[in-house]
Amino acid sequence: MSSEEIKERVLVAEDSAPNRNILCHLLKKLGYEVIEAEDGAIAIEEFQKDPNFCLIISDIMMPEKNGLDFLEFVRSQEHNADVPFLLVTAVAEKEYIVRAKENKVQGYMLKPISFDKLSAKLKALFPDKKFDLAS
Amino acid sequence: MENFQAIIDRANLGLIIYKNVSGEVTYANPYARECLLAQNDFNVLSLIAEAKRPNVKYLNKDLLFNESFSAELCLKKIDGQFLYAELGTMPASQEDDTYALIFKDITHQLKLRRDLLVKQDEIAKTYDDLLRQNEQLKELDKAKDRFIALISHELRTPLSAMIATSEVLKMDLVDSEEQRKEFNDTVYEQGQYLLEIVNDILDFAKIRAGKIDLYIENDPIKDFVDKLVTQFSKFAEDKKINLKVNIENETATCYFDEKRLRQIVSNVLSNAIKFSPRESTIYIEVQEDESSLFLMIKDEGDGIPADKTDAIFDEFVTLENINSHQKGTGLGMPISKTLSELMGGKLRIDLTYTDGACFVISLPKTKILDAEVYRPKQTDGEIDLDLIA
Repeated sequence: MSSEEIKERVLVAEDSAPNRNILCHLLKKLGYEVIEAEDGAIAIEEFQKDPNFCLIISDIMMPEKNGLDFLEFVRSQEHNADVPFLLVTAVAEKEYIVRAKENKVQGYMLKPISFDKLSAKLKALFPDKKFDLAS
Repeated sequence: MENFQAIIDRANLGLIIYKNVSGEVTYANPYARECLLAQNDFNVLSLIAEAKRPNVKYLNKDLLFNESFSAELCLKKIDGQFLYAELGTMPASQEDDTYALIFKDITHQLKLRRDLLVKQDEIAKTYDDLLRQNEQLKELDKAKDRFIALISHELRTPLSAMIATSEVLKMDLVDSEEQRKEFNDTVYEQGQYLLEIVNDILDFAKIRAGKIDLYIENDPIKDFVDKLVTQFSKFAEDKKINLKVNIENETATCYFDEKRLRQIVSNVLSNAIKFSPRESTIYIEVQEDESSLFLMIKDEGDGIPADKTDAIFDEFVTLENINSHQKGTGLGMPISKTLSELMGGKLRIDLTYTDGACFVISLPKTKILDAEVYRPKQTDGEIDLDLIA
C-alpha cells in the first residue's frame, strides 16, 4: 500500500510555458510528481541528475536540444534507457516520425493534448495502474 | 599555255611569283591583287606583319623562302590591314630563282567562326544563368515549405495552449480560484499572441505582394514616443528596466504612418526589453538633421555581432533556422525594416554603439513619397470604406 503512495515522477520537456503549465497540471491531476524542463538541454540535465522517471513527455521543436535529440540521448543511457517516452508536438514531419520510431518512442501525439487523450494514452501504457483524479 | 594563263587569271586562289631573297614580285594573279589591294608592283616582304598576338601565326621570311604550308596565317595587306589566309609556298623556277605562293583568303570564314564562338559562349552563359535561376527558384520553393512548416507550428502552439487550458476550465479541473484566474489569463494572453502572429503573417504576405496601405501624416514625434513608452513601461518594470527618453527638439515633427511606426518601434523595443539584463536602462533618443529625424533605441544587453546584423533583417535566414527554434515567427524585424523603407525612412543597426544593441529608425521630414500615401490615419481596427472602389 505504501509503495503506491509514493508519487511516480514524470519529466516534461516543453518550451512553450502555457502548454507546459497545462500539461503538468493534467499530470499532477492524474497523481504524478512532475519535473519541468524548458528545453531539450535542461531536460538532458534533469535526466542526468536523476534518471528515475516512470514516463517522459517531450515537445519536439525546442531551442538548444530538440525533443528528438533528447530522446536519442535517453535511449543511449545506461540507466532507465527504455523509459516510456511520449512525443507531444505541433508538427508531423515524416522525417521526425521516422526518427522517433527508430528510437522506440511509445507515442507521437499531436497538440492540443486533451485530458481524455492523455489519460487514455496513459491507461494503455500502464494497464495495471489505477488512475484516480487527485483532488 | 594560253588556256593555262586564263585559268590562273580566273582562279579563286591567289598566286604570286617572287624572287628569292629580294622578294620582288614578278607575277600576281587578279585574285591575289584584289585580296591584297596591290594594284602596282609590290614586294612579298611587305606582306610580313609585325607579330603581335601570341596565338596568331604570322607570315615570315622563313616561310616565304622555303617549301611550306599554313592552314591559318596572318598577312598584312598593302593598306596595312590584316588578312588571314590558308597559304602554301614552294620553289617555282630554279632557273629564275623564284618562289611561288598560293593562298586563299579565309578572313571572312575566320570572322564567322569567331562570331560563332562568341555566340556559343553567350548561349553557354545564358544556360548557366538559367540553371542558377532554377536553383534559386528551388531554394525559394524550399524556403516557402519551411515557412509553412514554421507558421503552422507557430499557430498551433498558442492555439493548443488555448484549447487545452480552456478544456481544463470547462471540465472544472482547477484546484483553486487563483488557478482558475491564472488559466483564464493564459487563454486571453495566448489569444493575443495568436493575433500578433496572424498579423505578422498577413503583413508579410501584404509586403510581398506590395499591398501595404500607408496613412502618412506630419506628426510630432514626442507625442508618439511618450504614448509608446507609457505602454511599454509595465513590461519594462517586470524586469526592473528603466526606459529613459531624451528628445533633442521636443517640437520636432516628421512624416510617418502612426500605426506602422508603432509596429516598428514596438518590435524593436520589445526585443530590447527581452534581451536586456534586469535592472538595466534602455535609452530612447530622438535627434535630427536637415532632412531626417532619427529615433534611436539603445540597450545594455549583449548587442548584436557585426556578422549577424544582416541575418536579423532577412526573413529567409529566420526560416532556415527553424530546427533550432526560437519563439515567434522571426518576421518582426524583416517586416519592420520594409515598413521603414516604405515610409521613406530606414531601419538599421548602429555598430559604432558598443554598450549593447542600438537600432536607428530614420524618418523623412519632407514629403518624398507618392502623394497618395499622405492622408489621414484610420481609426485602429476599422476598415477605410473609401478605399473600396
